[in-house]
Amino acid sequence: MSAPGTTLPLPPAEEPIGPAHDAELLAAGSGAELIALLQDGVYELDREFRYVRVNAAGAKLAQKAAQEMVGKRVQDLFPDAQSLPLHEAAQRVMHTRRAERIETFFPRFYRWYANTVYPTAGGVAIFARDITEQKALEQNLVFLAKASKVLASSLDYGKTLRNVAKLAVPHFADWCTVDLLTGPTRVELLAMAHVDPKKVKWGRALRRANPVNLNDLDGLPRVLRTGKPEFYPLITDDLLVAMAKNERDLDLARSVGFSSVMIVPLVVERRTIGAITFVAAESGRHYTKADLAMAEELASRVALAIANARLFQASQRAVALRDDFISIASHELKTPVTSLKVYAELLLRQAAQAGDARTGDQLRKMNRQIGKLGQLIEDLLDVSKIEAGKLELRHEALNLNALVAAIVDDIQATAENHAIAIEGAIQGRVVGDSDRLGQVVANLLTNAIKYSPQAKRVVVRLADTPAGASIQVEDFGIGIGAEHLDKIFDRFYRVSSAEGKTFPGLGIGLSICRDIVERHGGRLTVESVRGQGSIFTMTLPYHSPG
Amino acid sequence: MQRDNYILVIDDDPDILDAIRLLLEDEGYAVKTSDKGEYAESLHDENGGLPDLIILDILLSGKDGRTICRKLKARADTRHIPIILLSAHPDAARSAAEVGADAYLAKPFHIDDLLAEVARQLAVPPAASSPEEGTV
Repeated sequence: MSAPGTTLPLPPAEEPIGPAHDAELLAAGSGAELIALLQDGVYELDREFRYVRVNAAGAKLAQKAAQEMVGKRVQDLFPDAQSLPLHEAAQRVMHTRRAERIETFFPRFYRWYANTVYPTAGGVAIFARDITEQKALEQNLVFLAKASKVLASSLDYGKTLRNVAKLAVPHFADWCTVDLLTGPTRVELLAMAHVDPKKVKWGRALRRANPVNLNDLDGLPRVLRTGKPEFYPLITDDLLVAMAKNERDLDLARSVGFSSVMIVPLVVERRTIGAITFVAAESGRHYTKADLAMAEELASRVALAIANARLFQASQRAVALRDDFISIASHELKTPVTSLKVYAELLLRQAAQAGDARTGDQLRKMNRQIGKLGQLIEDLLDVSKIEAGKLELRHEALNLNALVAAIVDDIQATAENHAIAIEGAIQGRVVGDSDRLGQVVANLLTNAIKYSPQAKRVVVRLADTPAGASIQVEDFGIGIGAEHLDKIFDRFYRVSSAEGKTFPGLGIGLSICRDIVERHGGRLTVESVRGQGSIFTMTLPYHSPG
Repeated sequence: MQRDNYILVIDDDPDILDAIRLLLEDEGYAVKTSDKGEYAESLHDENGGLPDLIILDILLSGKDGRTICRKLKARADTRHIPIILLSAHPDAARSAAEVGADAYLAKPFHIDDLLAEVARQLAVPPAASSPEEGTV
C-alpha cells in the first residue's frame, strides 16, 4: 500500500474522468478511500496470495464481485494464473521485497495493462493500469512503420501488398485481404492473409465460390463504389442476420466468427482502385476509431505506392516507345531520301555524259538540297539520341591532325570562294570518337563558310594548350552580336541578320556540337565581333594512360 | 567455282530496289532483286547459280539482314560471296562487322560510293571453296 500523501499518477481513462470524479478524489483525502476511487485496479494480497482487498476497478477487471475475491487464494479463483508472468512477478516481489513493473495482455478482453507490484507490510499490492489505447497505438505505429518499409522495398506492388497483408496478421487483424479493381466490374483478390495457412486456403475457396458482386449494398462492394471506408466496430449476430442475403451466406458469415471489421478504400487521384479489409474474428478484438484512423493512413500509403509503381511502369513504356520511334523514324525518313539521291545522281551523270550543262547545274543544286535534307534528318535524330541519353561515343586514340586535314579536304572541295588554311599541329594524345568529332569540325567549317559570304578565307588553328588539345576555326564574316553569344549553343536557337533574315537550318547543329565536345570532357566556346567574324574554339582534354 | 556474274540486291523498299538496279545495270552489271529476306536464305547453286555479290538491307520486313548475313557466311557454299550491308539505322555500322559483312554503307549514299564499293568487292578473288570439299 502506498504511503499516505503520495501522489499517484492519473490513469488513462476508460471512462472520461470528469469534475465529479475529481471532486470525489479531492474529498477522499488519502488511504483506503483514495484507493477505492482509483481507476487503476488495486489488489492487496497476503503472504499466502489470498486477496485481502480489491478495489472496484480491480473487481471489474477481474469480472468478479470484490466480495467473491476477498479471502480466496489467487490460484483457486484463477487456476491458470500460476503460469502467468504477473503471478510470477508477484511471487518474486513477495520474496525479494523489491517492486517490479510488468505488462500483461488479456486476450479474452483484448486489453493491455501496465502492472506495478509493490511489497507491502502484509504481502504485496498490485496496481493494474489499463494501457490498451497506448499499447494499441504503439503497435499500430510499429505495424505502420514496418508496412511502409515493405511498401518502399520494391515496385512490385503485388509482392509488397502480399507482405503487408501478412504483416497485419495476427497482431492487427485475424484476416487481411487486399482487393484491386482491374476493370469497371472486375475485382481481383490480390492478397489474403491469416496466420493459419489452412484458413487462407479455405478463405480463398470461399471467395472463388462467392465472387464479389459490385452491386451489393454493403461491405467491400460499397467501399469500392463510394471510395468511403466501412467500419463495423462490433459485429453481433443480429448484424450478420441483417446483412446476410440468404441462409447459406449467414452460415458462412457465422463460421468466420466475425467480431469486428474495417474496410478502407485505396484511392489514387480521386479514383478508387481497390480496398484493404481488416477482419477481427477469433481474437475477439473490437476495432476502435484510432484503429480505423491507422488503417486509413496505411491505405493512403499503399495507394501511393501503387500509384508510384504504375507511373514508373508507364514511364518505362513511354521511353521504350520513344526509342522505337527513333529507330522507325530514322528508317522511314531516310528511305525516300535514298531513292531520291540515287535518281538525282544518275540523272546528273547522264546530263554530264550528254554535255547538258544547264540540266547538270540544276540537278547538282537539287542533289545538294537532297544532301541537306539527309543532313537535317541526321541532326534531328542525333538530337533525339542525345536527349534520350543514347548517344554512344567510341573511345579510340585520335590523330587530330589527320582528322582535321581530311575534313578540310572534303569541305574545300565544295567551297568555291574560300581558302581554308590549317596552321599548327597537335602533339598531345587525345582519345575519343573520330566520327563524331569530325562531325563537329565539319559543322564549324560549314558555318564559317556560310556566315562569311564576302570573305575569302577560313583559318583552322591546331595547338596544344594547358587546358588540352585546341582546334580553332576562325572566319571573317558577319560575326555574332554580343546578345546572341551565350545562346547560340542552345537547341533550336537561330541567329537572324540585321535585316531580320534567319539563316536556313534547324539551329541544332551547334547544340549537337557542344554536346559531343562536352561528352568528351571538353569545351566549345566562341568569341565574336559583329561585322568582323567569329572564332570557335574546341578544347579536348589529354588522355592520361592507366 | 563457277562465276555466274550477277549481283543480288535485297531491300524491302521497292523504290530503292529499282533505283539500285538501274544504277548497277547502267554500270553494266547483271542484277537480280528481291524484297524478301527469305530469298537470300534459300539461295543454292542450281537454278541460275549463286550471285557474285549480295547487297542487303539490314531492316527487312520480318527479318534482320544481319542474321541473314551471318547465316550466309556460316554456310560453306555461300561463305565466299561478298556482302555489302546497307542501312538507314544510325547504329548499324558497328554490328555489320560483327556478322561478317564485307562492307557497310549508310543510307542515303552517293552512287559513286556504292559503285566504288561494288567494284572493290568484286575485284577480290573469291575465297577457295568448292562444293566438292566438305558438306554443309
